Amino acid sequence: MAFLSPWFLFAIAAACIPLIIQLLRREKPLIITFSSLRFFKKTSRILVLFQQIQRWLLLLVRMLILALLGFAFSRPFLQTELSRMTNLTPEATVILLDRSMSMQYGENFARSKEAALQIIDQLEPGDEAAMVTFSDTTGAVIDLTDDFSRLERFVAQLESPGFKKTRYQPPLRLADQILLNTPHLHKRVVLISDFQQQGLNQFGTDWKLSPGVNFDAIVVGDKTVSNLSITDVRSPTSLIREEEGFSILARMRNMGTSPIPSAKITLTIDGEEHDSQQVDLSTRSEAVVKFDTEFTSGVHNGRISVVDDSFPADNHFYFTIDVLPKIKVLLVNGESSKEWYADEGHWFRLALGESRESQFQLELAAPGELDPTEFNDYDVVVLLNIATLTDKQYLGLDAYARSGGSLLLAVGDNVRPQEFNRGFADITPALLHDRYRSFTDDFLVIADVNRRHPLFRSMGGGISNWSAHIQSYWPSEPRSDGEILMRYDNGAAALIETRPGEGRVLLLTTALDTEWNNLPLHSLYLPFVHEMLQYLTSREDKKRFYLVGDPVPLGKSINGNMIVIDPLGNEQSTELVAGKEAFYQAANLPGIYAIELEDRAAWFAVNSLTEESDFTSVEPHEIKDRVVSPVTKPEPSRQILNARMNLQLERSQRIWWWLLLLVFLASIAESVLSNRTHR
Amino acid sequence: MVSIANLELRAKVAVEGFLNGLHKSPFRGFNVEFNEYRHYYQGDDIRHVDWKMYARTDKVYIKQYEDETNVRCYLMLDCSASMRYGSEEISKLEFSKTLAGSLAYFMMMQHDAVGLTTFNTQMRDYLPPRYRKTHLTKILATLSNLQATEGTDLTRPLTDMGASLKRRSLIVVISDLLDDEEAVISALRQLRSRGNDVIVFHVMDHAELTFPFTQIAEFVDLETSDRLTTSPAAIRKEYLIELRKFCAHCRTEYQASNIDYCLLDTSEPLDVALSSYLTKRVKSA
Repeated sequence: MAFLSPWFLFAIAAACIPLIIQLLRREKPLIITFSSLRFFKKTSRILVLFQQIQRWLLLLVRMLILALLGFAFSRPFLQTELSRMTNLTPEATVILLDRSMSMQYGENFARSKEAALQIIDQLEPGDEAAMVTFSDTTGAVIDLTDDFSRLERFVAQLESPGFKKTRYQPPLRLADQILLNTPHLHKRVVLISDFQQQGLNQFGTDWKLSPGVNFDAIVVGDKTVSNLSITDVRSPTSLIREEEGFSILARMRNMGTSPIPSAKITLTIDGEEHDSQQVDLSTRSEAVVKFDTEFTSGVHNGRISVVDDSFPADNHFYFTIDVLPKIKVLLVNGESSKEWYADEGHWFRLALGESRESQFQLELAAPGELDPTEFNDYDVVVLLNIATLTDKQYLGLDAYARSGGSLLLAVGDNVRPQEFNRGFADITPALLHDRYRSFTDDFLVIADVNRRHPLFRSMGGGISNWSAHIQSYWPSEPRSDGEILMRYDNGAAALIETRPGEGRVLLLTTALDTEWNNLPLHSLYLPFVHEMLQYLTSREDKKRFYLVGDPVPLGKSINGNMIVIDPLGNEQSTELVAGKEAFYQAANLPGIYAIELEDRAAWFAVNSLTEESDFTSVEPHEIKDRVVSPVTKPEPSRQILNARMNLQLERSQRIWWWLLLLVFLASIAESVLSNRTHR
Repeated sequence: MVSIANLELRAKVAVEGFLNGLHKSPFRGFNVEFNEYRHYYQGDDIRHVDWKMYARTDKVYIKQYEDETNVRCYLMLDCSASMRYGSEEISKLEFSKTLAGSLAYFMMMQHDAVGLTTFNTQMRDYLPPRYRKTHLTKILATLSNLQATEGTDLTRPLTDMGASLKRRSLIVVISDLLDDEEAVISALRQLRSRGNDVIVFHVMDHAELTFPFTQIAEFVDLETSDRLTTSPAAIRKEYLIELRKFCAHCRTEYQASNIDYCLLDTSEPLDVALSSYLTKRVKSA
């Protein structure tokens, strides 16, 4: 502490004035000879003592008032505050503490907390420090403070790291921002981490810390690491046959620095251990483990586990398997023939396959045999090149489509536009016009595909290169609710969708055989037909697993209150509204999550991030070289420094006001005491 | 009256002033002198035989002496150091002397025999009861020379007095009673139980009764020389409570024992004391 007007300190001596007056002018009390003191003695002893104390207290208060006034007018201020603004050594430090999944390895996190506490312990008065925890983003933060005990409490209360990945740039950016506003000229960032190589992914090369900010690194990772990690599991997305053998493949990788001669890998299905195998892996090598198993119908959850590994966080890989029945397809062939090349449905049947492995169960019918009462027994009704149907059949198809059934209409040379437009008036995606025929050597190709549509999503970019030649098609006029999914290169619609009621209807404006085009001769024909049928029955592939932090889609065609139960048993309720996509955003733990919606139940699996299992480290100086600015001697603006200096000076002198407040309070106490003291 | 230096004169002024105020007093007849002869009976002291009457009448008569009165009165005056206290012109001792002198004078006028005992921690002076002019002079002289010294021990003189009394008497105690009140009450009860009439004049200075001090002062105990510095304003309330409690206790206890108790303020005239005596005198007669 220092003083702006130190000579006023001599005024503190004035505090002795009341004492001197008390001593010099101490009046001898009047002596009264009295008959007897017997009536005094019972009451006055304590009273006299109390009065003496009050008198001395009053004297002390008066001395205190004078001393405080002298002290206040000497204008004291805190030197520690001022020293920040001078060329002394106070420093601002931001401690970055890694809480990514890899910090769960061994004693990494305990060592990092210990290192943080050690840094805090070494801070000097006048220093300031901030604390930032991070993984892929920044976590809990304590801004710059000189309350070191608060930082210590914060570090002591940190819980074990989660399952997020490591990214170094976000915390470094935040540290730079924190240090930007501090008046300290000496600034540094201390990064406490296991320094995984992958933490530098997505690290911008142009960004650096502000000039003058130093970088220190504290490595808490082990030099020798043993970790067997499951990097991937291949299980059937959805099985179409029950009680038939399938293989589950698990890819194992030795992520550590030492070989693993014998590791036990187990497969658990629905909570019961199903099979186990041994693997022998040298450093940085991989192996694939195959488990043969069978499934019954329904949804199953599975887990591949590594037994007795040094890094438990990545020892389990979770997945789910749906065992689904075959899709039932009714094919109505409008131009059947005994000769395969003349048969309209020949290529379609070939595409679906009629072997046991096919996921489709195909049934054939002639237009005249169609029974409208049986439509609901099928998932999809396919009408190929139909010339005409009875009104009853038209009405039956109309009702089937509106009640949730799926129709695929492929039109060929048998079709009569007027009849088609009349019969399918309410459910067709488009009305047909006169037939288009190209010249002899001319043809059309598929030129424009809506790749974002679910029908084409799994087909990838190959659909754009579909070079099939189309010589003829039915030009059409899409309905107001019809969505064009595919066009010819002349801009005409090739595939149109509409949704009458709860069902789906697809209209292909050309034939599905080789009479008008060569579509069936191309490799994309089969996936195109499969995807159309799967889309019509809404059999989208379900993900076998998600990764920690991924948003998990909960569906967008459901109404009701859905409850998600995480692996620890915590429940989260979400209100679903049909037509609005909802996601579960709290998948922060690996494991099997249960979903409950009214009387239905389902599961999804969440796994830890494989990259966090890779302990390949980066040298700290490599990060330092990337982030530290080459400008070594920062020269802050003198104007800014002056402004801050003034601010700090003003702050550091506020003690003056507190002293005057104390004088005021002491004066009140003096008034009270003097009124209570008898003379 | 305080300005009158002569104690006899003071007593006379006090009594006559008091008597002048008693118009049509029922006690007027007591001043009639009464002397008579009675026949000699066997056993009478022959020194009291009136030989002149025998010579004239040839009959033996016993002469009733003038000092044979109705009441034998003992004045017991406290002369301890605490009696020296006086906040105004007159100290408690001076007041008590005047009171005792007045009572003696008054008793003489009533043809009562008056004795005087002074005491502090022990009996100091003792004059047996007599009814003579010269005896009054002795009493007044003793009172004039009396000085207040030492502490107070009322019990012993009272006990000694009780032991020495052979006839019923009137005992007048003049004191500030600053002693062990229980012991004093016990001693007075013994006197009373032997058929004596007892009057206690509790003499207190006006300052003792009102505690008018204001400045911080060092109070010195006249008897023990104890010292205590205090603020009178702070202790006045408690002091007065204690004092009143003490007086009330005395009054209650004395009345319970048929002892007359009279609290006298030295700033007030002696009428109260004399009136109190007369009341008791009537009862004794």
